Amino acid sequence: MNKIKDDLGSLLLAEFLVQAFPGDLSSNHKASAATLRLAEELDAINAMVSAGELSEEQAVIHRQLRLNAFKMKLLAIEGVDDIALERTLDGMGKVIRRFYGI
Amino acid sequence: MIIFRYHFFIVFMANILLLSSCSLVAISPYDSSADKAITKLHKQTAEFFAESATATDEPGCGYSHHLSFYQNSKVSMSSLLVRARAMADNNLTVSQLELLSSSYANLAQLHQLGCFSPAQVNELWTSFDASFSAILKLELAKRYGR
Repeated sequence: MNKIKDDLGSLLLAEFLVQAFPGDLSSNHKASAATLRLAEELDAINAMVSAGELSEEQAVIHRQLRLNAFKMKLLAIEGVDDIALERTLDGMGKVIRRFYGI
Repeated sequence: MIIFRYHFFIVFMANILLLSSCSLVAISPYDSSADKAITKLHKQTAEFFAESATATDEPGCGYSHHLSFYQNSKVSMSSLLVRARAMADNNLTVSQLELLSSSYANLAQLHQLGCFSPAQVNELWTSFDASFSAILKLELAKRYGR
């Protein structure tokens, strides 16, 4: 019974964290924040081209590098979400198995 | 009593959840060797940018002067990719490493166009730091997220 309580407690804690810090833990928020940052970074590259610090050919490669970094960020967000889901499902499975003594 | 009334429903839902957890969530375990190799590669790259920021005159700043860096990073990326591809359920990390490999190719291409200005170095350094952070974030989540 104590184990069931512990598992339920950790599930409730995880849910509490999600509810309490939606800005930090929500993947949608993280993805949109990363998109916003990408837009700012691309703007900065455009500003460098306008200022004559970069040629158009160089700017294309800089943009490509920024896009690669952005895609890597999205992949990390997806992976962290998958791990969190795996942990939650594992916790739920444990609670159910212990409850039914499976 | 309510629990007994919904007994079959709860067991059915539990099975669905367990089955879905098997099919939907498939992430490889933490790989300490990959973590160390990525951290080492990041250090080499940061050293390259630090050197590039100070050396702005030919021939010290030219592509040919830094050929060993490009060769080393290519070798490191190749071994990281081979190891990552050998692990099951590691598609996300493999995709990240493929993108990083492509970034190194882009960096070499950019360097062949001419020496980097301090503003360019700053831009490139930030971009590569963001890439390494994303890769390490996922790798460390495999370790501490479980």
